[in-house]
Amino acid sequence: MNLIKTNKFHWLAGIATLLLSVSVHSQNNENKQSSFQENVKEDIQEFRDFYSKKFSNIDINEFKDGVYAIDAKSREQWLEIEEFAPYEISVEEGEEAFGETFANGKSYIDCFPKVEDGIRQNYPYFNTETNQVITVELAINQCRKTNNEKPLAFGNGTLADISAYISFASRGQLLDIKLPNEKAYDAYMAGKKFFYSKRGQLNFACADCHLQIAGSMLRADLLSPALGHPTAMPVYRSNWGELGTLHTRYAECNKNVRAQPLELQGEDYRNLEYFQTMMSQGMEVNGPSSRK
Amino acid sequence: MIKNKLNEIVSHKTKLLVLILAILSLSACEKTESETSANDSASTEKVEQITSESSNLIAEANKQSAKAKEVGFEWSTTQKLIDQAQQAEEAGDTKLASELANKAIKESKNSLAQAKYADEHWQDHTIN
Amino acid sequence: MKNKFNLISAVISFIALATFSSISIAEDSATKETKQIEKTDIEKGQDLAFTRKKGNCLACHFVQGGTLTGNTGPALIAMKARFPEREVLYSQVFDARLKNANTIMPPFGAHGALSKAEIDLIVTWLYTL
Repeated sequence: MNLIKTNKFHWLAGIATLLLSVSVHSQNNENKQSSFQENVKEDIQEFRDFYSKKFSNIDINEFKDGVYAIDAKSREQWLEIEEFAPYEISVEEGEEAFGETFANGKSYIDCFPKVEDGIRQNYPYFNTETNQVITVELAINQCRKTNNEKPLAFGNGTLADISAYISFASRGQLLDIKLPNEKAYDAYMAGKKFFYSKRGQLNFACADCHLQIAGSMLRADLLSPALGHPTAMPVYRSNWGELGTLHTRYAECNKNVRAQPLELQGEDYRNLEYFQTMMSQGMEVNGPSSRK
Repeated sequence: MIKNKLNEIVSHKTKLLVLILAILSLSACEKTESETSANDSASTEKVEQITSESSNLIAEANKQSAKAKEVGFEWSTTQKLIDQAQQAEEAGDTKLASELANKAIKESKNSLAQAKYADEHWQDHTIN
Repeated sequence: MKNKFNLISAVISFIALATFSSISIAEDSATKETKQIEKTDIEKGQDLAFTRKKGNCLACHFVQGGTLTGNTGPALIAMKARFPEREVLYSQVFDARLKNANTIMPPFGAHGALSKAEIDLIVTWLYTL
């Protein structure tokens, strides 16, 4: 009798422990989920606050205009350039390429959401099946690959043109970047780490020039704020004389600090784009754009 | 009179000295030239030894820069140094080749240190 | 006899001199063709500080007499008063991280962007500001 009782007790205790551990475990998961969502929310707020404080006379939503948000002198000239924007031909050519029918009869339209609803505002996103950040540019080439077409070169040319058309068609939409799970948070953190890490012989981090000393003069150039960079991509830079993507610009920045540029659309730059775009969450898409 | 004679002797001696010096310096000049050329031909074996040393350094520079590249912190200046070291080696200037290779190794080590610092300290420098 | 001796010694010294000077001229023109007047250390230091591929100090610092100077770092003025000890100023150019781990100033010496001798020349120039 006693023996049975103790046995019963053991059983109950065992089940109770099991239940407890399961509930603790799921709670932990929920906590984690909500805590990294909270972390990112806080990051976004503090990022915006930093620029609001630094440029107290500029409305936060103006940062989509990049350096021209903080440089009244060159802003007027820039607005004139935008009237007859140097990227217009690219947008047209991009539209044409976007409408192209692949050999198998399909087209980009089958790979992307409806153009009328805007596309760019939801990019980059984290693909929870492949566990990687998908940018507009990578999605374009993935679409070609699934349809047995040769990939386009990253950086400039037709790929940047299509990207320009996608941005143009998404103008006015507000950036809505999702953070679906912990793996996505890891990618976000990798991008954040990149942003704050010094590299190259000159030992500069993205954050050094485009956060800490944004708004200062480097020789004759005003350093642009990192907030809002992704809204305006791709970009026609007059010193390039052509349109380039955000990653083209990352590579150029790396070269400027004497760091070997990393692979365009490689994991590092995509994670950086994920972080940087997340920081501009809620801002208006206004790409493509022209810059000095 | 005695003074004059003395002067003559002195000036005579001076001229002799100039002459001796001139001859000496000329011959010295020739000697160094011939010496260096003799050295050159005598030390081909030595040069070969140095060549292998500088090519070892170039190999090491390649190894270190591959490490830096792997962690994504390679500098844009390093490969140029390695290329120049390779060129110097091919041109037979092993001293310059070693110098450049050493500089490239130092750069890669610095960029690896940068990567390590970023791993350990990047969160010290965020705004949040 | 004496005249002859004079002549010989003169000819020989002339040859000696000519050989020497021609050697040194050849060497000079081989290393630096344009070098006519030797620059002072201060001038050399300023050149290094102004050149974009070297110090490029003007990118971030205001310097009297410099064009297109940046304003990221402090203006380079009254250097003697601000850095009474030469070593401290040298160290700031060589590796500013020693004083501030998250400094924006590149570690010019530690990262080999400038050699020790080059930093020395820049420091000499800085003390004239």
